[in-house]
Amino acid sequence: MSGTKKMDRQTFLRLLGMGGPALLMMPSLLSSCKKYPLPDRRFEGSVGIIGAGIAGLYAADMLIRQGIEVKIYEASSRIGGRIRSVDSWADHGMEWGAQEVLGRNHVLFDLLKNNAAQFVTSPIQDYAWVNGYWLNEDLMRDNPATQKLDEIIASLSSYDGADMIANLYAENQGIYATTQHIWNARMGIQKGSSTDLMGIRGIADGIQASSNGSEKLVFQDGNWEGLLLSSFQDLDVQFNTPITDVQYNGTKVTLSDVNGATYVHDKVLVAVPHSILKNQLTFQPLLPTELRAQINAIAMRPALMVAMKFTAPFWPADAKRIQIPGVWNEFEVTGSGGRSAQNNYLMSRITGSAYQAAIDLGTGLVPELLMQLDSYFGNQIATSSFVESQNLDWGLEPWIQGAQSYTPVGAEGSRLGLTQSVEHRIYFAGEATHAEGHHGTVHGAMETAIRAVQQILQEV
Amino acid sequence: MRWKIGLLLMLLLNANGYSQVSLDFRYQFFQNTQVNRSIEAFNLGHSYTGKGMQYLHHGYAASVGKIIKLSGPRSVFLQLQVPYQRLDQRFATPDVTIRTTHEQLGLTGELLFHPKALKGKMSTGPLGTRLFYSIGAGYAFARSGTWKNGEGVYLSSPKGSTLFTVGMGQRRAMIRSRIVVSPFIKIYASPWREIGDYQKAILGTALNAPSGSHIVWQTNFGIEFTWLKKEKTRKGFWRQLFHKRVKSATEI
Repeated sequence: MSGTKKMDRQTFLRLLGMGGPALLMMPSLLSSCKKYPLPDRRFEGSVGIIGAGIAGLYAADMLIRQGIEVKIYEASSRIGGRIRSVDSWADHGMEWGAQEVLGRNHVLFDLLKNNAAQFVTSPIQDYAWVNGYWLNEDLMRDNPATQKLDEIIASLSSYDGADMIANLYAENQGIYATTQHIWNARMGIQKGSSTDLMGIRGIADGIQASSNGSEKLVFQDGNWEGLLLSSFQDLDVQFNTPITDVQYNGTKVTLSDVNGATYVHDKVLVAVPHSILKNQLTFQPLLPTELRAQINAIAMRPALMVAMKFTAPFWPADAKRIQIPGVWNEFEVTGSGGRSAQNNYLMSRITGSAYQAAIDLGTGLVPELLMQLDSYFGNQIATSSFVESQNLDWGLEPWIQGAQSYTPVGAEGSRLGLTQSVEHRIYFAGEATHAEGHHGTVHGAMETAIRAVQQILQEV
Repeated sequence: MRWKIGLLLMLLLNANGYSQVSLDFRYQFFQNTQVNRSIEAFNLGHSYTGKGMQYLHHGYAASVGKIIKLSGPRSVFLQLQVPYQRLDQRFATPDVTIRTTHEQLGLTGELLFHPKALKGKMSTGPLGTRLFYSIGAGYAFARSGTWKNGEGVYLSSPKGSTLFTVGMGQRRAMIRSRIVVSPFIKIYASPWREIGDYQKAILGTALNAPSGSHIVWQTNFGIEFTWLKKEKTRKGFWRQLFHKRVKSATEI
């Protein structure tokens, strides 16, 4: 190749010796040169946030750090929404609302660790009554009926068939009658309703989208209010201001509260529980027809939380949940894993189709719960060791009206509409607006806040 | 797609008498706007820490392969390669350390050529012309993972996608008349790469309203080492048609 300059071996090796390390160091050199990247901020103006639940609080915090003027309007007199800890009744952190941290791969876990949260590390497990015996998780792995149940649940990770009531799907798959209550506890109660109301596609989508881990983490000490809401105490929240009307027909968005007072902002983030969005909030002009249909398709039902104190535990020391047949399928052992010295508290979340039965019982509910426990633990042990109870009905909370959203039959994909803005002025956040399967969770609500804030900053 | 991979693997393993083994090391610049948006969102969500993660841009890669001679004088070679690429990003606060990785294992087939040599106007050596161009395609499996405080919290299942590549390089120097050293640049484009897994690794969830393109661009700057085998005396069809002996790859 005439005209080209020859390089001898020594020259080449010398150049390689100088250039190689420089090339290998290039990523770290480049990374250390600049500040970390954030979304482009194209929006200048003020943002009104309706709702001081975790989505609204977290969104406000992010917006303020980006230099945006923010005001939060909260209907009640407290922040946190469906994060509410039981106050000075139990000897450990007990919760009326959010219970567990699901997995670690999300910002909620990072924020909690930042706030020095520690999680229970001692082994705790579920116990279920199956065909006349108590089974722990090891025994459940060997039992044909619970093996079949696990197979059915595992099949949902690849299910893309027709939508149907979850119980019908389980029956079609051959679920044993002796494990129906475990099915309802795991796929119904823990996901916000009951399996005779929920659509199987909504449940399957949640399982398929799982990307944060399967662990269910419980605080060793402290509670949700102390460990999470404490991060947002300094935000500008206007309490006792229930917003009922959102007008967005001009260049600004005008909010009106129940007393007729108005508040004007450039953009508004709606971060209220889904029941409130569906039933209490009006928009002028009306939201797009398709979006209204999507909002109506998503369901949210009330839940009655009943906390019971006993003289001593009558359940296994390592029990985390107790699942039994009957009307009330699941009891949470709230002090398990060393959280409570006495470990003598149970919590029952009554939701879905069982809720109305509980309401109909009125004051007879707790004796009914105790009798059901007696029938599986024997010797009237629950009734005889019962001390006292407290309860909270999320359905009766005027500005919450429910526990968590779920996806009924035919509503698959409905949450997608809530991930988009309306005319770049109205945005939605909150657990019900998570379209990737993490609805009904605290971390899911926080992820929707990130999405909404990114949209607010970038859309003009 | 599996049969294509199988065919390429068969070619890679069976290419013998007219092939040379190559090994290369690369710096890689990775670019996908949706992944960038995910990292921006991650930083937004962690703004309470005052820290953030850099874009998932810079990574390393290495590749083994074979260069198979199709036509010596016309300088047309087929290069089959198995490139492994890795990108790594970290985020650390006193309480939380997050490491996000992206790995890719591919199989590519590229034609190495020079337009002038195709017309028979250039001298060629055992590895063709000194300056060469490449064009090809392949298939790559990629997966993303996240480790938090040393514990794996997310690892996606490997997902495959087609990639296309163009590039150029130069047979620049020789070591002991046996190893040809060739700096090169190659650009990979994957138009249909699954982006959701990156977002789940970085953010913990897929973005619902992503902006940006799905296309993943990977620009590779590297140095290739090719071992020249001694010529075999066996005469094949291609050799009879095109080949002529030369002293070395760089002394044409």
